[in-house]
Amino acid sequence: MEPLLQFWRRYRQNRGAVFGLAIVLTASAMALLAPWLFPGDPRRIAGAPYIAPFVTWQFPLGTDQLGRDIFVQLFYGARVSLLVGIAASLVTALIGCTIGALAGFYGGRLGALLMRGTEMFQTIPDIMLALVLVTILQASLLSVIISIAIVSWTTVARVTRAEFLKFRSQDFVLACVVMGMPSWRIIVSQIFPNVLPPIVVMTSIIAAGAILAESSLSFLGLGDPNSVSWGMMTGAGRSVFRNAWYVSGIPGLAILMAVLGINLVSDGLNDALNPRRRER
Amino acid sequence: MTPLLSVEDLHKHFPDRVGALRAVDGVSFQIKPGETLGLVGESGCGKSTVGRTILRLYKPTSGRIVLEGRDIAPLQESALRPLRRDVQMVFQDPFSSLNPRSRIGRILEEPFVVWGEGRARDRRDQVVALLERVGLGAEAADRYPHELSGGQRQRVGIARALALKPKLIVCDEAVSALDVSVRAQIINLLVDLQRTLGIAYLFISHDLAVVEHVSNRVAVMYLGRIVEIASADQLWSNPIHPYTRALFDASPKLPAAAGQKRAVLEGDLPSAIDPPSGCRFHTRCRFATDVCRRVEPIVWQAAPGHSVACHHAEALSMAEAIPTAQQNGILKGSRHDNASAL
Repeated sequence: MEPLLQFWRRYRQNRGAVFGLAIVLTASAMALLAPWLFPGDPRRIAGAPYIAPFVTWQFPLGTDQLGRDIFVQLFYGARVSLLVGIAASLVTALIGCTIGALAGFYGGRLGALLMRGTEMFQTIPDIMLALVLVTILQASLLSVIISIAIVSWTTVARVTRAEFLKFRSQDFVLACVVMGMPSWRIIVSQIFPNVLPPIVVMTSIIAAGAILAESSLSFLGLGDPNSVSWGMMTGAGRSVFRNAWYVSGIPGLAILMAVLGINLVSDGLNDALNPRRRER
Repeated sequence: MTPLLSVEDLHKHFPDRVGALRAVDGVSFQIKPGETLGLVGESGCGKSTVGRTILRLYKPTSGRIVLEGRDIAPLQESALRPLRRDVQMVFQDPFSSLNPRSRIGRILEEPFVVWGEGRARDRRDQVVALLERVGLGAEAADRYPHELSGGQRQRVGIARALALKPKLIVCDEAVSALDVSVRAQIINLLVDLQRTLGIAYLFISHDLAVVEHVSNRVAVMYLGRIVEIASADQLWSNPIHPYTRALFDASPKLPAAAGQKRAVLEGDLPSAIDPPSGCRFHTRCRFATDVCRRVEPIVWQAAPGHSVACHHAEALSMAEAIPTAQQNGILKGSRHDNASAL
């Protein structure tokens, strides 16, 4: 408990990070409470179309061109955005850490092979590859998550490899080799705890990127057709943008806030986890 | 007595774009149980590489590393692991040799966990026993490395090396990074442990005074080769190889002998990628002649247990004993309580 408290003390010194955390917590609350606050299909036609925001209490954020409640859709959209953000960044971290750790620890031919593979992925433009993958895998939430993970693990792999290279030759690792510790234990129990902070920070940045990527895919109509997401709402509203900006403007703003919030949190994590800045 | 460790014609070359860096190029020596072999030489001469190759942190290019009658040079890591507990290491930098994210207790428990020794409850007692053995209290077990001083950390490093009851400990510049007063304490600790536990040391250092103090025998390395090896007494009273003499002359002495001329080495250590022909030291040697430039010197026995790799060894040994042979009044292998004597 005590270290957690200290961590929070360091974290809260960054005001932006606290603000970011508030945004992320709000979005999480929206996502968790959506089915409880607004039971029923969020995409059902609830009233007249094109009601502007802040006009009636019944539809605080107005309705879209089909008369669907934007406020309710925003809540349900948070579910998809956050789920994609969390799941995609975790899968990304898992792939990236595994490949980076193996490449960095063993080096040699295995390392060269893995890094050439990583570079191959890096040469393909992310969004193009994601589009192709989603098209091949059929549009669903799972395929969106997998596609985003496949295009974004390379940076994690490179960072993890660099960190493992750095620690591989440190004396405390050599001492473990000398005492006969198996390599997998050295990787997991000795080096990994030391490389965790940059990976945590990077994973949170990737979560923000994943939300953006999901929005882009949904905007282009390649998201899961059966669920509401902020990107899909933005895409659906773009044809009426000139006379009803809020239909795509409000979910667009939600994306902006969520991504900003996560970036601020990762910034705060970076400060709080960086041992050199602890003595403030 | 049969040697604990016998190194025979050890080579370790690191591949390089233009060729190979011949860090260790034909080194042979033996270490008997319970003795200390000092290994001295300037930076870049390959002495650390020797230590790390013996520990099989590097795979030797060629040669034999015979540990208790068994050649460990060609073994794969899996075959090597059961033998690893016999040879342990103490590192130079007490700050990078302990995992910053582990408590001291965990660091010292690790060897027992790896070897599946003891139950979790007993291991705590073993850790405390280790800490006490190196002069630390049980409360240190709950500390993180950054909460300890350099000397305390080095004691933890020694405790970790002792955990598996090794027969040989490679001390790679183990006291070089410490303050002078702490250095004396750590040296005394190493000497005491050797007496009670009978551990042999390979003591790698560039600090001649320390090496003279702790070593039974001393090997002098130059550019990947051992140029002279003798008992510490023989070497200090009668250094023969011109490099050994230059090394002794270069180290500061108190009180400085008035009017004494020092044979200071000129130039830098030549590249180990393309070492000089013949005797490797000829580019910096005062006594170098034509034969030194062409022919590699063979080892000459100056006395039993005192061998020199120099063409002019015999002539040099006849020349007057050089005045570096002053004793500083400390008995070899003994404790001492006056740090300034180091």
